[in-house]
Amino acid sequence: MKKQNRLRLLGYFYGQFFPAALLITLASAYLLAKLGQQALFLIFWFKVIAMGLIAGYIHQYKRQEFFYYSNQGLSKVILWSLVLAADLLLFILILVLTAYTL
Amino acid sequence: MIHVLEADGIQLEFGSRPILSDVYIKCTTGKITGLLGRNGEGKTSLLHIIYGHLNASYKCIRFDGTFVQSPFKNPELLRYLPQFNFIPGNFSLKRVFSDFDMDFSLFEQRFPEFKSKYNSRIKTLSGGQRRLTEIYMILKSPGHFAILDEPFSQLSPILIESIKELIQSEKAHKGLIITDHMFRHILEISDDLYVLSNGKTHKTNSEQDLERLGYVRSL
Repeated sequence: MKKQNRLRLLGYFYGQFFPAALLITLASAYLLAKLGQQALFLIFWFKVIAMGLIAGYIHQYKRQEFFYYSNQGLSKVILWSLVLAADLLLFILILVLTAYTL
Repeated sequence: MIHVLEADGIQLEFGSRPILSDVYIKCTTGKITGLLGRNGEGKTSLLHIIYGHLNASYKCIRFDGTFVQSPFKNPELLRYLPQFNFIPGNFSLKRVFSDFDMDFSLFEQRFPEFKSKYNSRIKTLSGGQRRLTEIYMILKSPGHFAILDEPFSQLSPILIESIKELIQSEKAHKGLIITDHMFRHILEISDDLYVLSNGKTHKTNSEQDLERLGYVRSL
């Protein structure tokens, strides 16, 4: 499978919950701005738990679609690893920017 | 070159209940291997184990004699048609054919009812058209083997005939493992046939075996 097709599939998979993930990240940034850096531990777990709930939702209601990805050579583990890594990077970037602008 | 897919030694339990215990199934390229079994015998579980989507207590899946832990990681080795719709409904046919790197014009040529549907979303197709598209993608995309879980269920007789023709033409290029409750179609197209009963596979040589194994009352 072409690399660009894989990237497009990853983009589609991330796109299914990107608005929710971004909302959680922005809420985390807001909490950081309001509560300060001592709340980082709380914010981290807030993000982890929220993402866990999203992953659970996707597994429950979109599980049929995982066969589409696996027939393209993208296993669940690869999908989640790459997408969650991208989301984590975005989360860290936004928190760093928030902390920097405070 | 002929390729061989073999699955044996599979053991699966749900809690303390044994589901699969003595399984051997062999599929070679150029042949259709049918798998029959009553509801709850573990056909889909067995196919998921072969594909690598379900863990078993023990399993041995071999391609050309080489053990493969997770066949699903290599779609050019094995593809899987699940018994439910798996192509995201939001995708257009254009997108699906692009993802699978396949030519829509050949599909359209074979199934003229798809003319002018190139940009249609999958969810706007009828149930039969959607299933036909899925079966076509799995059968026509490159790969040595394909597993088809209930390809005939909920389809009209005309569509079933089209799919049987498609399956027959594709067996020249790959090995196919097929299961369905519409067993007469399976009997008709299979070169080899297994019945899954009491957690064991039984290679059958005649239709009377189906009766003996309790799969049908009388033929």
